Amino acid sequence: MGNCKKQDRKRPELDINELFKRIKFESKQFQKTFREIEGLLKTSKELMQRLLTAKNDGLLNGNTFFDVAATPPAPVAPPATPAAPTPVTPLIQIITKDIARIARQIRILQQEQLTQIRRALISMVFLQTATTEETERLAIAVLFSAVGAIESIRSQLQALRDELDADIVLLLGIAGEL
Amino acid sequence: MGNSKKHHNGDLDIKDLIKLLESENNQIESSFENIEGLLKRNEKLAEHFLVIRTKKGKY
Repeated sequence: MGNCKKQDRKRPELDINELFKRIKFESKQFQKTFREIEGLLKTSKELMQRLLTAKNDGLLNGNTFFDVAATPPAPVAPPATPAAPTPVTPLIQIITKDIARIARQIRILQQEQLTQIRRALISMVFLQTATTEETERLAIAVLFSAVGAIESIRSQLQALRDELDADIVLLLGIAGEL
Repeated sequence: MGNSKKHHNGDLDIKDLIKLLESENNQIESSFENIEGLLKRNEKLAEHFLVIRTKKGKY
């Protein structure tokens, strides 16, 4: 107990092998998720292009539909929706808006991921040169907080991948009907 | 992989961790560059659907 200077095993609270494994695992998951997101973004891009072409060709019955989506309160002129409009365009709007949101969030998470990796890096550099136990403890705390954040970002990214996947399934359904 | 046999003492392993994180950092930076174009393209296309709405709608 007490202050006996057993320094042969330095930093008992830091299991480097364990940490190495965790980061390696996160890295693999991250790369995998990223490749999947990249594939999904390609698919959604192609689908949106197809739908946009279809819209421009008048296949989506867009014009009337956008008015309906706007739902103006004006009682004078109710939106002219004569024939049964295909309930396609507002749905596409909702989905594509969601895709744009996902794209924004992916970008934010990417930045956040870089920030946390650099934070982990800096804490390790500090740890390497730490001369007091206090600095060591602080560096280790930062390190663990960064690794925890990296794990959380990875799972958020996976959730975004799933949401993107779900949006694409919907778009595919719409595009399939054209 | 490979070099986890360096067990001398904390320091060397910390260097390994630093190397790992540095390569992570680079890898992520390059995958971001790859994906940025796709993100922009997706956002632009999505915007297209909404821009049409504002033009033809009541705004």
